[in-house]
Amino acid sequence: MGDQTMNPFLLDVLSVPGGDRVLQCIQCGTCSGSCPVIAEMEFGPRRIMHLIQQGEEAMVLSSHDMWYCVSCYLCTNRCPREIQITDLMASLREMAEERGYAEDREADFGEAFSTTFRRYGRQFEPELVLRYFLRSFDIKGMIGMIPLSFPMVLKHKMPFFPERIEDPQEMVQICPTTEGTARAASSPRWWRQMLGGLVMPFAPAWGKRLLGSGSKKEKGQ
Amino acid sequence: MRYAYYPGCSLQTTAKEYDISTRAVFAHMGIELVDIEDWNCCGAVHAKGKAAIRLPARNLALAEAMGLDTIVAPCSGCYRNLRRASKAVTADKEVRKDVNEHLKKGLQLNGDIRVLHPLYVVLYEYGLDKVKSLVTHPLKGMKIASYYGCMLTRPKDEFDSPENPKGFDELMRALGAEVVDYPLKAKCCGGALAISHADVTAKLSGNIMYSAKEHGGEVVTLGCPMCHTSLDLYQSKAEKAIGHELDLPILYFTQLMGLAMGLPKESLGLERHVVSPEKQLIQAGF
Repeated sequence: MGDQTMNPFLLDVLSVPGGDRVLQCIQCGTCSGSCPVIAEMEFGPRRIMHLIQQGEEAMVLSSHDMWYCVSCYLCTNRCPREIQITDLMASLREMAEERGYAEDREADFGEAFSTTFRRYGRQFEPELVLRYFLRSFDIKGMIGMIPLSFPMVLKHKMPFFPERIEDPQEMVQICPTTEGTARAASSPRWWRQMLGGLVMPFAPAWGKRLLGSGSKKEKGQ
Repeated sequence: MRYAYYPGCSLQTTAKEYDISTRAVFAHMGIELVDIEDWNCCGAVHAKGKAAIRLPARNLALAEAMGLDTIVAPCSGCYRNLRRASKAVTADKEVRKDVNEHLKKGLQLNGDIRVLHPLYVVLYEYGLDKVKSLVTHPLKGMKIASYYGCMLTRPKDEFDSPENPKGFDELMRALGAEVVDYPLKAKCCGGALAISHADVTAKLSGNIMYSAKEHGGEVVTLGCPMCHTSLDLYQSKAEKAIGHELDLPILYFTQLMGLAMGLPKESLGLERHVVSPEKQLIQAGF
């Protein structure tokens, strides 16, 4: 098959990690049959492969399927055509963010996760969760977390101070970009602005430090 | 035996009991774990592009700088990330070059660093015969369902089967326990979605625990802090999601090793679980 017969989206996918063998898919459905979260998906991995082959960029990248992927590698392990489906799902998540399609709470979580560990070099759970809720405004999820937060505090599973590496600037060098991709597409900007406006003036100085993403100074690097 | 030790973020907070029990048991076996100085987060599944390799690779370089060639990583997620980075730099010079270009001055990754899960250190470096010789309090009558999760055995490696793993079962038998087999032992707990789609995590982990219990499991053992959070902290949610009571204590395999080897209970962090294992432990004579 020559390049001229291929659609641009398929060509893009062929060049991302996990995408190189996407044309090898024979639609056997082993992946979708193995997937533990298939019930949550709109298409499932088998149909995602087909849609990629058909060049359906918007359908693939605006779907929630890759955000439900739990990275369990069961499909990858069983694929008779040795397609690296789990890695491809990760690449599709990145493409969806870059191209402004990402609209899933898990996209917000991923952004909150990488922003937080990038600040300290290590993860800091309270800030991660706070960033996630400010980003996603997931009220139902927040209420659902309340009963779990008590045992976490009682069993000393919730840290109150972040651990850091000696020089967190090293993280900026290692991951130059984490900010600014999903935020355009995921939670509506006005929510965050309104929340920021409500929270920031009343937050004590440490809270301000916690909530200010610190991305401005890092972005230029 | 001397290894670099990479605790990872969870073992500092939500899974402190996994950290302290691993250190206690390894010290008891005479295996030295040397903390990697200034280690960083491996990125979990959220590092983007080349950072997904660079982040864990920095820890490999730090271990190398300390003169150590093997890293022990108790979290299955960290284990997979560090192992993937180690394989990537070994397989591709360009990847190694990219890693080294992004490390701070003076830090380089030149050699090949091995990455092991503590289960594999116990099984294949230390050996079950030696483990058996240290068992003073066999876990007699304890019906244990081993839960493997995803990244301990997948992507496929040289240690265990990704479809029907048996590493934990062998270890538990060596400790004198009765092992329970059940079909969902290597299915995913959904830990990756625990915050954004908690209902999915609750359903998946509920199904796993229900299957373990249906097949006679009274205690679940595992070796991953994310799986532990899904099965222990989320157990109340899981019960609601599947409509069955579970009351199933979830213990790290290192805690069970510590019990069988007669280590003081206080040194194993058993009080830190949300679902108390007390009833089952008393029943087994602990």
